[in-house]
This record gives sequence, C-alpha cells and structure tokens, in this order.
Amino acid sequence: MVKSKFIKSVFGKSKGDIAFSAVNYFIFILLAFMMVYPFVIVVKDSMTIYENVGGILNPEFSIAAYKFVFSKKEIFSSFLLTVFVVVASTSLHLIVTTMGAYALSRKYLKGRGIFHVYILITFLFSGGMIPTYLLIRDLHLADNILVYIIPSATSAYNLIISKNFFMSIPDSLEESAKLDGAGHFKIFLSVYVPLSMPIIAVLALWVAVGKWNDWFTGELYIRNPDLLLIQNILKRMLISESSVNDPSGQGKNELFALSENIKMATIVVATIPVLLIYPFVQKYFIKGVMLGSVKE
Amino acid sequence: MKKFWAIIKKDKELYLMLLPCIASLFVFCYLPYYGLTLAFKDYKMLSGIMGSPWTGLDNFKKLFSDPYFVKVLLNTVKISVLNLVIGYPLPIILVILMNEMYSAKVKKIFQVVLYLPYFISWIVLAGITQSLFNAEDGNINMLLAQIFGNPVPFYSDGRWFISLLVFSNVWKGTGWGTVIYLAAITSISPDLYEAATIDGAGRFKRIIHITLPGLRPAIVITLILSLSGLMQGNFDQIWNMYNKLLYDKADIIQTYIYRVGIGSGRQYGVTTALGLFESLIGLLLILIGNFIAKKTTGDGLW
Repeated sequence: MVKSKFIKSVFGKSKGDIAFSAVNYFIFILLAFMMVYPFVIVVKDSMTIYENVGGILNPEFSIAAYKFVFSKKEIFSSFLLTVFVVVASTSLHLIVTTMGAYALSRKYLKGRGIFHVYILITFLFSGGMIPTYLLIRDLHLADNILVYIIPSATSAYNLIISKNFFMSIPDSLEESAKLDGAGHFKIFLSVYVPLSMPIIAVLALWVAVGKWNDWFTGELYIRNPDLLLIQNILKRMLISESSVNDPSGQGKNELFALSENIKMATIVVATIPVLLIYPFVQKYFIKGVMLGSVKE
Repeated sequence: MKKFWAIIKKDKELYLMLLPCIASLFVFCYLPYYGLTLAFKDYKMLSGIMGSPWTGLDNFKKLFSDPYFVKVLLNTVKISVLNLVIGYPLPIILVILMNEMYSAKVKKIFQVVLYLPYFISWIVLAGITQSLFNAEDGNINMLLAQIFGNPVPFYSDGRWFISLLVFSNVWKGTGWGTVIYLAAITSISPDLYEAATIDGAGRFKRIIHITLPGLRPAIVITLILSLSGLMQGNFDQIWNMYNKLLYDKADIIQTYIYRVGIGSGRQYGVTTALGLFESLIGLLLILIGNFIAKKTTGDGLW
C-alpha cells in the first residue's frame, strides 16, 4: 500500500505514465551523473597521494594537500581579500542598482524615457576591451583594490530587471506611505526593499558568484601580487605549465610547480564558498527571475 | 531652465537616488565610447587618446587585409554557432521533461544538481578539463585510450579541441540555462493542464499546446540574446583552455584582441578597430533579431 502510493506520486498512475517517467528519470540520472562526476574526481584526487611501493604507485588517502593549501600565505590571504571584495562589491552593486531602479520605476518621474534609452544604449553597445582598459588605467584604478569594486557598481541588465520587479508592486503602497509623510528614501527602504527580497536575492547571487569567479580584472589590471584574488592564484597554479597565455607577465614561480592533489585541493577550497551562497537565496530564486522578466 | 529646476526640485529625492547609477554608467560605459576614436587614430603612448594623430580608415584597411583576421572571424562564428545549435535547445528540452515529473521533490533535487556547474569559475573549469582530458594521464582520456587504442589529442588537434570547448561550455551552461524557462513555466496555470487532460489531450499534445506556448516569450528572448553574443564568443573559456598550438584554430575576436592589443603587441589602434567591428555586428544582430521576433511572434526585448 505504502509502496504503491510512492509509485503513484513519483511515477504517475497509468502504465504509460510509469513507462514515460522511468525513461525520463533515467535521462536525468545520467545527466546528474555527468554533472557530478567531475566534482567527485576532483575531491577524490585532492585526497589521494601515491606511495611508491617497489616501483608501483599505490594510491593512498591523505589530507596533506589541504594542510599545504591552508599553510600557504598567498592562498590564505587572497582568499580573505576575495571574501572582502565579494561582500563590498555586491553590497555596492545592490545599493546603487536597486535605488536607481526604484526611481526609474516611478511612472511620474520626468525624463524617465530618456533615462531608459540612456541605460539601454549601454546594454546594446559596448566600448570594448581596449578603450575600457585605457580608461581604467587613466583613472588610476589599475593596481588599486577599488578596480574590483567601483566599475561594477551597476549594470544595465540588472537595472532593468529590478525596475520591472518594482513596477509589479502596487502603487497604492507608495501612496499610503506618502500620506503618512514618508519620503522616497524611507518608502524605498521600509516598503519596497522588504517586498523585493526575491529580486535582491537573485541579483546578490549573480553578482557575488561573478565576483568570486572573476579572474579577468586581476589579470588585466593588477601587478601587485598582494592584490590578486583567489581565481588569479588558482590560475597560476592550474594553468601555468601547459599554457603560455600570460600577457600580463604575472608569471609563475617555483612555488606553483605542484602535484595534482594540491591543485585539486585548491580547487575545492576555492569553490566551496561559492556553492554555499546558493542555499541562502534558493527560496527566492524562481520568483525573482520570473517577476524580473515581466515587462511593462 | 527655471522649469527644468522646478521639475528636479519636485522629485529631488528620486533624482538623487538615480544619480549614482547614471554616473556609474557614464564613467564606465560612456567614456569608453570616446576611446573608440582610437580605431581611427595611430595611438601614441605619450600623446594619449586625444593627442594621437588621426589616420582615417587605415586601421580598418590593415585589419581587413590581414588573412589572420579572416581566420579569427571564421573561428568565432564557427565556435559560436556550434555552441548555439547544441546549447540553445537543451535547456528547453530539459525544462519540458522536468515539467512532466510527478514528484516536485525529485524535480527539485535534479534542478539543484544541474545548477552545480554554474558556480565554478572558468579557471576551475579549465583546470578540471585539463585534468580529465589531457593526453598524458587525464582520467577520461585514459578511458578513451583503452576503448580506441590511442588517447584523443584534445589539446593539440583543432577539431578535438573545439569539440571539448563546446562540450564543456554546454556542460557548464545547460543547467543554469533552465532557470529562465522554469520561471516562465510557473506562470502557466495548472488549470490549463487539467482542462486539457479532461478533454482527452495526451502528454504530447499538452506539451505542444500548453507548455511550449507558455515558454514562447522566454524562448524568443533567449534566442535574441544568444544571437547577439555570436561575435563575442566565450573569451573566459577559450583564453583559459587553449595554448600556442591551437591559436590559429581557436582564436576568436576577443582572445585575439587581448593577445595582440594588451599582450605583446600593444597595437591599440587595430585592436580597437576590431573591437568596434565586433560591437557593431553585435548591435546589428540584436536589432535585427528583435525586429524579426516582434514581427513574427510579438515577443521581443523591448
């Protein structure tokens, strides 16, 4: 009885349903295996060392690689720096973007159409890599920790989807708060922000994951090794021997001539924090994406 | 002028709230537009962008007559089209199949597992693929070597490398690509499915007549956005995965700009011209894509 109830809820009622479900689940189990397999290999390799027993390499369990990773000052300090950069840049992005989006979502705002076009242009057409590079250099942001934080203060796409979200909140809320004498800052903070957690969570996730995984900014603009983020350290460890892609001249040093288990352990250490973000925002996730994509 | 200030004053708080993002976009998106003039100049370090002499279309002439430019252009289109043809339909198919699952719990577990690769960086992806597919001791390549007799030259043969690029790109992006469709599917009323079932519509008919139309706006918007990225390609992936042996097989516009512009060459003029060319094609693609989509389906980006 219990068993058949289980089958009904997972596979469906009729024979056809059950057959379909079985095939469907099988496809997804294969996919899930493909998604997870590389992670399993990485974790396994990070904990394996090879003992030489009479000319044959014998795999053995060891956490020596993790001890090594945590004892390396370069890795640890860039890890902390990355945490700081992620928190600071995500906060700034959220404040600037949601505040602007709130203003844009007020239908009576004069010049709203012009601001829209102004924002849309930056979405459609980019100045490109070289002009941006020269600009950042001229602004003295190169080799400056602010280069990780200031240029990403907002983006056209995030502005537009959060504006759309704010527009889905009934205007009557603003009007009644106004009758109570609240100004826009207060209405924004005490009425709109609490109601907008889905979109804020989505933006926070996008920006934080993007920042944690950002390697390009560091490679392009940073020469001071103390200001490199975790992905730049990882790149030097993982991709140094085989590849000659190093126009930045950050180079490699003998410290990073490493065995496989240490490389893999560093991958694990550099990836776990970003995986930890997801469960916190999952609750809001689908709702945030959905309402953000609703158009006027 | 007086009127202007009166308008600002009336909603001064709102304009104040808008100011940071307008200013930020001005500095980091609009000022680089000025740098685009380099495409028509011969950049001299000491004179800066403004002081460098105008050279008309010289940079473009130089660029278009370079046979390597044609190669890079073809590589970009080839890799992007492969990514699009394989990577674009997959999330749609997966979401439709997920929508047919009976247990919400099982569906959620699969979703979370499929999202996993989104969270790793391109550096990590490059490191993992290197470790799994290299021809000396890569775990998967060793398996392939046992089956086919020889390890597969993923990192030295252009075709194999591009297959690896497309495969790993699709691996990383497909799960996350389902998010927008999943969001769209939640807005389809369950009553529609119930009514269709009562009317005797089978699973296939329900997919064709309810699920797909519900997904249509998301399908169209994603297609427009993917098309507009055709010229851009996936710089992060290729830059971290390829090597000298594969430059002429896998260099795309962006990797070439980086290599020649910022790397050894410092050829700012020609690479800015190439960047401008890329941005213009991207703009054209998104405008045409949006226009056609609006005409045929009524859905579009704006």
